[in-house]
Amino acid sequence: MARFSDLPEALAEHLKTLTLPTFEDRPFVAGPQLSERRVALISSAGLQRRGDTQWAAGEAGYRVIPGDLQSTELMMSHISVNYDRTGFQDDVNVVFPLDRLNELASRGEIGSVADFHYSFMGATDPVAMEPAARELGRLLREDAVNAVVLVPV
Amino acid sequence: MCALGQYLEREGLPTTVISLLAEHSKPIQPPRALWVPFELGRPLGPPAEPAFQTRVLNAALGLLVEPTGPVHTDFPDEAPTTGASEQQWACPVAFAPKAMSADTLGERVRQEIGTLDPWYDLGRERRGRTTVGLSALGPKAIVSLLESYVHTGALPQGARPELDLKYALDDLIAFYQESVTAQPGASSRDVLRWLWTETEAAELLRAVKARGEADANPRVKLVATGLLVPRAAASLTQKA
Repeated sequence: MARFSDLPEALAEHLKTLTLPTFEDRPFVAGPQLSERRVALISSAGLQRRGDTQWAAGEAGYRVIPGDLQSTELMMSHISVNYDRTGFQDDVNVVFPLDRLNELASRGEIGSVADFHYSFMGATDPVAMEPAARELGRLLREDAVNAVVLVPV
Repeated sequence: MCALGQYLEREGLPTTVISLLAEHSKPIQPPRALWVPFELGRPLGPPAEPAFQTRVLNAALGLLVEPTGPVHTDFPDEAPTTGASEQQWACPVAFAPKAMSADTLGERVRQEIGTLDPWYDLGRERRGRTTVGLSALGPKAIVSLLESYVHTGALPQGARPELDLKYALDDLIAFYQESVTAQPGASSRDVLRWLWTETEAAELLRAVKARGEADANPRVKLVATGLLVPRAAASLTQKA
């Protein structure tokens, strides 16, 4: 994993200034074997459908990424410019591994793939995301999801 | 992402997080975390490496079957490098020498775009998609917009002019990146160095940033200060 010492100095100094939330509890929800899991992806890459309104600084909500969205329609409008985008330009699975997830489901290694996936924009204060995250929890349960892979950028 | 894991587990959902940055995720102690040694922007590793991406995804999913937690583990392998990225990369695009090109910066950037156009088309065909299109403008129209802003301070019309400016600029950068990577082989650092040291576009982008940092509109100033030019580009000097 990258450490501050691996990053360009200016970027590392910026990242050091960000405030991190603290948690006193340690929630941990168990579940069945992977072959019985319905899996959703949640990205913090500021993903959106082509034509959706682009992300704004401080925006704490989420965007819906339908599981049948063509990769040609998946766009990234994260406000930060301080990470590589050429990987995503070449292959959406670098950031949003939906093809890989569908392959695992087709081989029976996971139970199924959720109908809907979601994206946040990770430059926002995570504490501000809590209401949207709680709402997402309800939506994901309604989609019978019992596993979430959280993918940063 | 690690905080989202906490919130979702409280809602009864098992989560597993792929983590790119140790100093940001370890203090939060998410329920399940796979620490990966990849560069920012590539949480699953390199593009066009489906078997490797599957290994990363499987490693993250595998944490879900652990009965107790928190569970944190390191992904054991570095991202594979491919072909030319291990050697000296040579940019396939040859721009006209500055002395022979147009007088104004905007004209020189438009000339570059003309040179890049076939490479962009090639890249788009190879990938079957493009990430250009956050703004409604084509590359040359974006240059006109940016040029106008630099010279007159005129912002795009609309409710979010600072973001319209940013996403037009992001589109122009994506156009350049997708063009120069039409042939695989460049690392992300190669592309960063090329864009910010060898193109006329970099001069225009830096001029937009400088103009924006002095803008009376605080939202424009905020965007220009931190959201237009990568911090890693600050130490790169444009070739004369």
